[in-house]
Amino acid sequence: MAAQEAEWTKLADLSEVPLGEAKAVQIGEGRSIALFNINGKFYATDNQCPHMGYPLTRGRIRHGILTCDWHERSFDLEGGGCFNVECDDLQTFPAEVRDGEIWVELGDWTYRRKTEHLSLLWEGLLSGDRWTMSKAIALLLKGGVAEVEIVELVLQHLGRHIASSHGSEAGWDIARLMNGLAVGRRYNDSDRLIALTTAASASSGGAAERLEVVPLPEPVGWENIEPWVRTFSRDGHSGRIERCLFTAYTLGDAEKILPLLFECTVEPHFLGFSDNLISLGYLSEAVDEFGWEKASELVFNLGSKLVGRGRGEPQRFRRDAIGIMREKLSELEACEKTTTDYDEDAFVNAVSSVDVQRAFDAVTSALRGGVSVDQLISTLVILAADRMARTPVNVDAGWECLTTELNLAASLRTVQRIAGDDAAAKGIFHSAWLTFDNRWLNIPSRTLTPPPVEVEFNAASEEEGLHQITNTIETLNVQAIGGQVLGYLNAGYSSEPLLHALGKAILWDDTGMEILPTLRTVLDEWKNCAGHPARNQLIVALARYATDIRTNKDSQSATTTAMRFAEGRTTVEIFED
Amino acid sequence: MLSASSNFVKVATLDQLAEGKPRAVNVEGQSIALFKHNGGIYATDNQCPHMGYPLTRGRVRGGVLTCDWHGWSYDMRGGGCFTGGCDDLATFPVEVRENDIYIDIAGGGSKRDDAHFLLLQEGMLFGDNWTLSKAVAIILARGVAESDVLNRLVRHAGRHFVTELDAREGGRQLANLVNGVKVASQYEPEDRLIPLMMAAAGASGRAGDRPSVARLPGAITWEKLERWIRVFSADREWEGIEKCLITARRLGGHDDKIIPLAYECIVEPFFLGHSDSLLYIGYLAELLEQFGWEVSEELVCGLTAKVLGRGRGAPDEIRREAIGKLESLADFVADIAANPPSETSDFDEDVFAAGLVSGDLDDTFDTITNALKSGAGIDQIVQTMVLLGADRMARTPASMSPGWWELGQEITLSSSIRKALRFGGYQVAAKALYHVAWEFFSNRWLNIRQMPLSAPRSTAPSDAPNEDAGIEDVISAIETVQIQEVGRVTRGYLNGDFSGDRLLAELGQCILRDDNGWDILHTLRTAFDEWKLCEDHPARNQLLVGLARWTTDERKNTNSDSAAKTALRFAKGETAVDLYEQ
Repeated sequence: MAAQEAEWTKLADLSEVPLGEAKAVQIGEGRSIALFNINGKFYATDNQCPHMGYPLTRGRIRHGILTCDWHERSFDLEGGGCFNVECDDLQTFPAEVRDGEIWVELGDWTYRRKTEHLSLLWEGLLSGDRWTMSKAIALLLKGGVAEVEIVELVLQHLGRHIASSHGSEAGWDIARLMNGLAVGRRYNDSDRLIALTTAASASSGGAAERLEVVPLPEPVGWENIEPWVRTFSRDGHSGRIERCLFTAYTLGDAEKILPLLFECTVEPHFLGFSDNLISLGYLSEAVDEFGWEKASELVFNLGSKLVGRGRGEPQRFRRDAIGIMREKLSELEACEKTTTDYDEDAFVNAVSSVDVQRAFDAVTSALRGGVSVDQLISTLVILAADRMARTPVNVDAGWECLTTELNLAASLRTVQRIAGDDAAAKGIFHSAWLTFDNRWLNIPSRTLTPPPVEVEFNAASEEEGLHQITNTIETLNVQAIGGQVLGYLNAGYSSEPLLHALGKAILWDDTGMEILPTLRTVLDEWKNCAGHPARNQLIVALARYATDIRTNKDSQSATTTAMRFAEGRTTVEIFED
Repeated sequence: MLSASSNFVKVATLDQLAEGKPRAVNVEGQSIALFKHNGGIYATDNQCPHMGYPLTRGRVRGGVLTCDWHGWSYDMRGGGCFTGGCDDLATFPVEVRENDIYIDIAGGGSKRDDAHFLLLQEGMLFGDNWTLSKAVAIILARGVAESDVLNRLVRHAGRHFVTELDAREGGRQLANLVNGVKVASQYEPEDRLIPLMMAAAGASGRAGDRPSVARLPGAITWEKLERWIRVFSADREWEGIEKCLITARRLGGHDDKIIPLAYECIVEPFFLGHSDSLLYIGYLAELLEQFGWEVSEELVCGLTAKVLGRGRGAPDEIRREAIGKLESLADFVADIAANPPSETSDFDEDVFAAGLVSGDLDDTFDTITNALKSGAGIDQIVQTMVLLGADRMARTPASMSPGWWELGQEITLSSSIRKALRFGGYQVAAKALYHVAWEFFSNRWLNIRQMPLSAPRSTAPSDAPNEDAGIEDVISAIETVQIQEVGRVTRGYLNGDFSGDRLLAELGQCILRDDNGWDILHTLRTAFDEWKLCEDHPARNQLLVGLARWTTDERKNTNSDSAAKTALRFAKGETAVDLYEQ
């Protein structure tokens, strides 16, 4: 420990810190130490206010309470304890006078505040303050805390938040959380931090104690629970489902739960509530990634709210569609599958025909003809992307509807993986219904295999092309962006850096939170749809969408500041220089 | 299995039970519902665990039994409830032998040992009076110690207050909690359910998540904490106060200094006009006395911090003036506190009372100063203030705006100074006298003619032949809302040398059973205390007269005890089933 003893450092001469005054001393790596002379006694603290980094030498001191001048956070000058919520304690250092010089024991900078910073993150999650979350996450990551620990805290908070404060609309929260994580993983440093913080922000909000859920008393088994859940789902009794799911879990039937929830929600009577499929898909991902123990409250509670949601009286078109879908399902059950060639153009024409009977007929005959569910999903994904790539942006582009089409089609892959081909096949009807339901969008029907568009694109290199595209996005030139992206891809430049740059531009805009699910879908589907002739439309769609809704208001300031903060280099310099 | 099978008793024959035609049978005094469903025979308790409606009138679908009244649903085999959190239904093993249906009444019943505590938790989270009544009734009927229930209430209240309520809201709920418990203790167990339910309601509400408060790091002394708490109280920063209080707890050895310090803070002149803080700190002190720090820490630290750090608003001119006067009295109070009077001297109660309600600010404060100078003890002064409030309540004209609530505050605030003396010391209590005197001054708009407390009130005795009849007269006057009569009848009863203790107890029940019990609970609790403490005072009867008049004037006769009654019947198992089946 001799080296530690040697950490005593001379920071100033006595004369430099007169009675009642303060002085900031730089100690390398951008850190700044504040020295205070209170009635002839010297105190040393970190000069960076733990709240937002303002220099504390500009604060006020009375009764040993140091109060920052900016947001009035107060600290014990001696021990460093903070007197406010949502604020970390201040680091203080022993100081003494030796022969007219002020010496301070700086000690080492080993990270020891994991518990405190996790607690800080939780406070931020409860209050919804983005700065607190950004800062806590930046500090934790800088301190070497594993990202998974941070995310688990966020996930558990989200479970309680939804369970105590939300209805079925909470599906949107889980979408942004899981997509923030998935997208964040493709980036590093501040890009990753902004994705993580966006995910955390999406999960934030009040949370409260709730009544403990206990299993149903014995005797009860999966053979009882399964029909009950189906009945309660059909009847819209969400409150009755959670206890059933929890009981199944305690009985050891956890792996049957998600397939059952998917089966409930692909039923014809759920036509028009296809966001359920998307949300359940993300719940499945949460279970995959974090395990049942961490995800259980979230899955049981939100799962119940989703499959037990009220659906209201269906209006005419939906009522008819439900009837047709029932008919088609029994037809499918009755017939033998054959093997025919897949005519994608015919399928696309029917699905976008504005005739639900025709659309459902096409789905039925494709399934009867032995076309694989995979293939149909790819078609639906590209169809949605193509519509996004072509929707007129002058009046109402319908981004919300179109992105739901895209994300729903992509979520059918999860349905297939978790609940099997039959459930995914039913999901295809839901997807077709959504396209029909969005018929007000004025996008002419066309097939997915048009000849390549010739676009004027003059970029001497890939790098220049990327630069041009980014610039077009940032100048909100939505009329030009689609053509440029196509031109770039047609010129044979690489898609990877383009997707990377696009994602980055999206993350750093305030609309990033809204675009996250679609960004994530495009990143995945770009791989899944490899080989499809119209695959480029995925990127065109994303670029047009992002450009059109872009606000050029950046939430980046919080993230950049948080990164600088975690380094210890913050507003101190701005104010001190 | 032999011993088990020996418990089976025959309850019906197969041909008595058809699909869709449930049947209720009586087994050992309990109503049991029998169902035939998809070929199977099922036996359940016939009383719906929610509100006791007979389940034989319910519907069965897919093994799910749904009660016809509020639609609560149960697994008819295992008894699991799908609707509430935990109200499982008792189900019983069934055997068919030849043509006979046997059930094992001992082999069924409640499935979880902690079901009633879950029910209490549900009630506390949602603040639903029915659930709370039912939970408390069931718990007490099971012989669970009352203290076990109360500890849970206090813990829950701590989290609820600190995450959801401000000082005033929290203080008011705390008043219900503490006074409900204190009033309940005045009654035999079978009569406690309503005040306990009120206490439970006081503790109930959403309890937000929060990280636990960490102590301040480094070397901290009590002296520092004390100074900081005073600074944060002056600056209205409750978060810092809570942090200091938690730190004091963690340091150890300073627990007994916390309530006295809290009292010192709230009798500062700038708290004038917020004397309800005196009530809240007093209740917190009582809470600690009864439940200890381990159970009460979050509540006491959180609410003390909020009360000490509460916003006080900009004082208007007259309050500013009064605050100035109070500041200038600081030295006088400190001097007298250094040598508190030991013996009571010539304290002229009538002069004191007249000064207190003079409506003149100088006279109001001078009357306190003079009383202290004269060597009167705090208890003596408090007694006069309490009975002055009671006398005003007994005489306020009930026609226009009688000011019941304000007069109730005069009584409870005056009485709370005794706690300030006991838990905060002489100087705190002396300062508190001025704060409460300010309330009397503020109530100067009340049009009550001043009369000396020593002047004789009516001494005419009641014409009731005996105590029972006398009680009946008073209660009947209240229940028939005879506000002009009730004072005379009550005074007559007391003049007739019948038991005042008994009247107070009966009056209390009558108040609790009506919906306005919520308003009057605090004054009722004070009356229980002061009735004993003011024993020899000639105006003591006015406490009961005032209370009787208030409750009569505000009476709604909406009968809030129906939930309690039903809950009691429910806990005994005798419920709506009898009502509907006969």
